Amino acid sequence: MTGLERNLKYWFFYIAKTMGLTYLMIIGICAFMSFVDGGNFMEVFAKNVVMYLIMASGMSIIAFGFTNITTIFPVTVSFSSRRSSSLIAMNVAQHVFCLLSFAFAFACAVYVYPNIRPYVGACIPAIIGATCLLFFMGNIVAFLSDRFGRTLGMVLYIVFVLAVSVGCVFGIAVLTRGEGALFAALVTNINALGVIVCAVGILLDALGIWLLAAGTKNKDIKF
Amino acid sequence: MSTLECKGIVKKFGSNEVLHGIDLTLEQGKIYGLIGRNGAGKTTLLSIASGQNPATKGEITVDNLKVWDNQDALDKICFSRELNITAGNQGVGGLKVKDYLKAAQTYFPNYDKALEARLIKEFELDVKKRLSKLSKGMLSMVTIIVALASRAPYTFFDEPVAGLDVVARETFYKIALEEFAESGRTFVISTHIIEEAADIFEEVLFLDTGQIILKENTQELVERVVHVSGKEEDVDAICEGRKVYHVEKIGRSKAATVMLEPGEELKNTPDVTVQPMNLQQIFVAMCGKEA
Amino acid sequence: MNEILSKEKSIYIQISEMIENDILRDILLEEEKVPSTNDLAKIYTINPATAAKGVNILVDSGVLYKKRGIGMFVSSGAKKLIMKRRKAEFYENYVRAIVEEAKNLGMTKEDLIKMIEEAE
Repeated sequence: MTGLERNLKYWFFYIAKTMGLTYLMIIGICAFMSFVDGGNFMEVFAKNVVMYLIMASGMSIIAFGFTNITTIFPVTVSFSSRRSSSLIAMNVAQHVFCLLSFAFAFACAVYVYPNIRPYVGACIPAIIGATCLLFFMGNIVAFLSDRFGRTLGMVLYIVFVLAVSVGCVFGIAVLTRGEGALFAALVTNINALGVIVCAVGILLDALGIWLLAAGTKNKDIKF
Repeated sequence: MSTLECKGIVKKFGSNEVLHGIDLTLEQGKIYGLIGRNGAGKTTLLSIASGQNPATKGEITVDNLKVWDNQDALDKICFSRELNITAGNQGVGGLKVKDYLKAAQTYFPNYDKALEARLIKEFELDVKKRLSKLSKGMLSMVTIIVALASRAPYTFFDEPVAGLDVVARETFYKIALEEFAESGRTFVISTHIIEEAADIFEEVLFLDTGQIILKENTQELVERVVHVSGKEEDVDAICEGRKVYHVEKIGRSKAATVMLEPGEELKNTPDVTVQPMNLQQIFVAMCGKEA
Repeated sequence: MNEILSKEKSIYIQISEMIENDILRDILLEEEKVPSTNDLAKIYTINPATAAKGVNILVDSGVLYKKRGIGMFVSSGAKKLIMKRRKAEFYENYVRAIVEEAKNLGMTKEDLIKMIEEAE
């Protein structure tokens, strides 16, 4: 196996393990809550899953920005891995799992909120863009906490999480109510909006990754 | 023959230069002892030689392949570092021993799981424990297991016996020698518990404030350096024209650590006592405070 | 082969002496195979190259000989060889030293011979 292959194997395993456990827990709790709630199981379950999964994914992604790079990445280097292979595999694994979990949450959302269905086409690029945006935020947190200390990193992390949570709640409220001028404006431009969000997200994410790689390439690894 | 070469390695941390131009050739199939005081730069040198950290200047090659950022070269090297689990790297501390070892298995191309299992048994290590819950000795055992099981042609150990009790230390030396005899790998072991490890080193490297001041065959070095003591004039006569380290004076008596030519012998006379020195005494004479 | 290493002499010299002692004590018999350098290294926790150096001393002096592909063997007549060499060493290292020291202490040859007779 080449270095990159080994890194992919390990990072996928590690991210699956850490994220997987969290998500299984969330799904389990949601299932339990839905069960207790009494109404249409699938509907309640799906509603809960959407909300909690999105929140958890959002928080994980921003956290990923500075946890994996400071803890697991040095371990991989200490096992004689090439730095670039490790960074690439780390980003691929993180993106894949996060997109998968968002995809699942989105599928549940489509099931529960039928009025979204016509906009699925536009939503998909928007979701990809949003995910990338979150990664970008995570990398910014990593970059800045590296430069200016952990406290600033922590503060920024909390700020970002709050911003994302508020945005999410607001967004879902707007979408599910399906009325008002804002909603109308969104609807008419939905396709364009989706593509723009996607492009911007991907660009910023790439920028964040580039910043991270440049910063890490020649830095000393300390334990 | 396979070699690992360090050419002109300089390392600066900010404006502080800690390695001042190290030139070193390590040959295949030898056990080297890297000996130096705390802060001499042992860990820094090993982390650069293994391609894990960049040098400020200079180049590391193994079999004429550049080591930095080159997986083919990196595959030949293993540097098992001292694991310090602090509040800062809690992520690593949260890993269980078996998870840490599993990662090592994935990364090292020649990793030997059978050897790993045998070592776990030998050291009586509980692999289900988290790294943050291990004592310093057990952490040392983990790094030893990774280094030995990696089967890397060039394997570096950074203070492998730190925190190990004397029986565990003897176990390490025995197992390391067994593995060496079987595989002919190159081991570089950094330590400052000198005397007990001296017998397993074929060559020793003395690192003193960022420079390699000595690289010699251990047995030959120990034969060449003697402790000479007696009346001041007689000792001075012997020191004439020879490399002298660490001179002591008490009243009319003087003592000096003297390096002889290879094969040269200095016998006891009524005026002067000539005594052999062990590796630890030689190191202290050359790199100690009054050197 | 159960002696421990001391810090008095070079390790490889001690290895060769220990093998010689075993030959003199009939622990190793003539024409018998001697432990390999790797085995010796394991037994004494020393570098195999050092063990090899010790063994080579004995090969050079004729006490051991090498069978290609199999290992090192005790030569026939090894015992005699060892005794002969040790007697010569005894003269060099002990007898001459005694004579020197006696001279330093101001003793005569007769004083020294009297001491030797007392010691018996």
